[in-house]
Amino acid sequence: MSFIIKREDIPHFSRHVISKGYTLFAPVKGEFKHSFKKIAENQVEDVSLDFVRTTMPPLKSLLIPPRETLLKIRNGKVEETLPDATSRTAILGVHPCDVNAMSLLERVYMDRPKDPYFEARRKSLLVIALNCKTADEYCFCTSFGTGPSLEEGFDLLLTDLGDRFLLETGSRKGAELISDFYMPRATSTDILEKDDTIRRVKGMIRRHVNTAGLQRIMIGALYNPIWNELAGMCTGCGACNMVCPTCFCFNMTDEPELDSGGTVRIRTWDGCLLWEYAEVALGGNFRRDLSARIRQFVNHKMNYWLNQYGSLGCVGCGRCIEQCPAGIDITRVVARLRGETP
Amino acid sequence: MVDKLKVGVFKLTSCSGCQMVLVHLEESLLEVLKHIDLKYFRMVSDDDLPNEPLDAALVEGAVTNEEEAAMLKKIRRLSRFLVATGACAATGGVNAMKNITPEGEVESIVYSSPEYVRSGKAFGLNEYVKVDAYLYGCPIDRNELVNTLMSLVLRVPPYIPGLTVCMECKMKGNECVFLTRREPCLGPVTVGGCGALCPSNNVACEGCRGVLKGTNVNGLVSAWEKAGVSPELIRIKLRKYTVYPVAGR
Amino acid sequence: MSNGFENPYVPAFAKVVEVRNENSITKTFTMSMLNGEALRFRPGQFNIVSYFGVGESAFSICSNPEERNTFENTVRRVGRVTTALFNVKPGDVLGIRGPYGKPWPLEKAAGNDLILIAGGMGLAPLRPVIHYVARHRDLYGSVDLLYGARTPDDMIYTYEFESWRNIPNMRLYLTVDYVPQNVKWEHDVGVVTELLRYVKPRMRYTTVFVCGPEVMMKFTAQLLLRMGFYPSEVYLSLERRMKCGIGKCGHCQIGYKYVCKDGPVFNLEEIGLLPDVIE
Repeated sequence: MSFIIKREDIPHFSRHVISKGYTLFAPVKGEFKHSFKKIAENQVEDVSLDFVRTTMPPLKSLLIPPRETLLKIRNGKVEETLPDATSRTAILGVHPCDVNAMSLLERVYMDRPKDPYFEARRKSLLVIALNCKTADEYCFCTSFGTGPSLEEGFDLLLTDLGDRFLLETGSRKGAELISDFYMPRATSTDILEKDDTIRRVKGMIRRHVNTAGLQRIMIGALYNPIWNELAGMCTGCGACNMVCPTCFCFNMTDEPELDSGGTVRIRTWDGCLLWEYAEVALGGNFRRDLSARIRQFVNHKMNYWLNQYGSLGCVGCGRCIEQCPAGIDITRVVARLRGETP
Repeated sequence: MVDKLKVGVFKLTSCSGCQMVLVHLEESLLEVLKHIDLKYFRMVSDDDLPNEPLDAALVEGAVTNEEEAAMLKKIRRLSRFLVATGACAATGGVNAMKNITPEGEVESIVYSSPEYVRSGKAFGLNEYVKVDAYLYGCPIDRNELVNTLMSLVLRVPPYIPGLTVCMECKMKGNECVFLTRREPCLGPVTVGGCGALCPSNNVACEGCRGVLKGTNVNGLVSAWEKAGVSPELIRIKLRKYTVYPVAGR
Repeated sequence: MSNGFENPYVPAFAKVVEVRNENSITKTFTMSMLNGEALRFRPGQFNIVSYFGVGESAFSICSNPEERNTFENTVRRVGRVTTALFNVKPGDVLGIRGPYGKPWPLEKAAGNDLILIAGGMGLAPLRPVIHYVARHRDLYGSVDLLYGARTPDDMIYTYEFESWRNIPNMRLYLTVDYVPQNVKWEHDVGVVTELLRYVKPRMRYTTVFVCGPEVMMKFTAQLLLRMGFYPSEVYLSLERRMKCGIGKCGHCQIGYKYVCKDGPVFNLEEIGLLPDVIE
């Protein structure tokens, strides 16, 4: 079912979502860029859907927080600190690449044995996605079919038609949310206009990864000198790991909980660009050289994911290119390995 | 319950800021004190240097003269486990800025009567003794201090996760000060644990926590150069905590 | 609070019933689950041991797989968790997750001769194999254990060697890198691969299990292939630092393989083309 929301009614719609008992997250404009923030009822005017890309992937942060307590161990008892699966969280304005990245994270975390922390947060989450109305120099979602529009993976889907948004339902949960929110039905003109918008955005995307036979090429390039060359540029900072919406690795550590005399077991995001990541006992390390760590990052996305989870592990959001202090461009790395560019 | 950990807190050439972090633990300090026995802490008690063995020594400050070197060696002999506490103890800290200027020059800028200053080049503790663990930062981080003390209470080596300031900055969702404003930020190569305190306040990282193993400072400097950061500013950034062994700078 | 989700991160409790000193830096802990249940595992699998307040670490389960009341982990003091474990005494309680991982292919190897090659601590995941073979002696042909360590003192389970030698059609060959003065040593001196000269393998009917330090496995694997062993019949048990043990945290990946769930036991065919296998 498709409906129309007037642009000026987005705050009203946001308020409606909150009134249904959801904690709402939505993009808010910052000094330079948009970022997803928790929206209180009196902040609905701040919701801004005019953006290309946020620095941090919103769904990854919501489903696997950068730092989370897994267990509390007190007086010889283990207490699970599971999120409340019956709570309701809605996220408004997520672009198709990020929604698809969430589906990829599901393959990792919902693979058996399931991660109950992820599962609880996923179950309580309602996704109101937003098709892209523009793209910038870093976008390359069309290479993976993960954007600029969405066919599945959402509860509700918005498309910006200028003075109004097309709203489509993708699940019963989504349909229930809008069952008592009055909106006019969309017409065939609206649908045609949506198709035009998507076609226009596709035409704006300039960056590409040629995925045809990519895995064979990546395997053949494991010992290519390019990895050493990239290691000269790469700072080893791990920013790419953090901003990648499909990077899922974590570390687990124990910390004292002073007041109870107990311990908390924490998990924090981790990344394969770090020295410590592949360290083993007695100072051994399987990716001692930065070149091996860059190779791991690129190959995991463009090669290993296919064997592990049935699809490539990149959604073309462009964050790792945009946020790399050294300007390393994964699309160019692949193009060079394919011999498509010098 | 194991015996209380016998701890000494010592200071060489430094500003005492890291010891202040210990004092400022406040309620946490009372909890920590249930497990440790502070045998020597000049900031809170006027005792002489201890003569009895210690389980752990927290040593703040850089070594800048022979007396300090001798004191450090004595502390080392007394202590089973020695923690270099803070940037000065870890690498020489800001004190070591003077290591690259002629002797006396910095002193004459800083002090009105430099003839009373008895200090040579400033070095981190590991130039003189074996260091068992490091607490990084100027000043140190209070959570890392508590975690380190509690690890020592459990008789295990402390652990500081090996991630970068840049990663913590990203986790917070900050906009990059380098990419948005072309400010040279040392976050990409600096040991995390501070929660990206400076960049979260819109200030580029100064690198007070030292270089993280496995990162590439030369790569970062090339990126700065490409972005048009002046050679003078690059030199200042790299010398502030003087821990950046980049050739020719 | 449980939400009805099975939580794979929650450890069960085990009580330490015995601590044996293997050598100055290695101890074996005998444990039993506090809930009275058996830790059912297959030879080559590992578990994750928690010392609460310090963290978790993965260890091969090294005891007889058919012993239901207790299980054992051999621990070498190398890091934080192992240092903490060294202070553990009988009666203390530890956290246990697992068993995890793919075991040695003992069913597939039935009918074959076995060659077990171990270096140092690498004997730990092979000890359950020896116990299993002893109980099911008719399932396998000849069994040769080739064990090397740095010095005689670095060897573990030496108190069981005599009973292993008494297993029918099983031979035990020992070697050390060097013998300190005043230490009596009646066996070989040299690298473990040199012990292969004592065995006369029937390539088609032999399965080889290898575990030890990386360099040892690297040279052993190369030599075995040169000798004509089938890559699909040479199995290595690989070491990685695992955080989760269940294929989520990413740390143990080698190419597209997860050591924790696709391994730790791999044959040379599986890992032949992967990068970062051996340091």
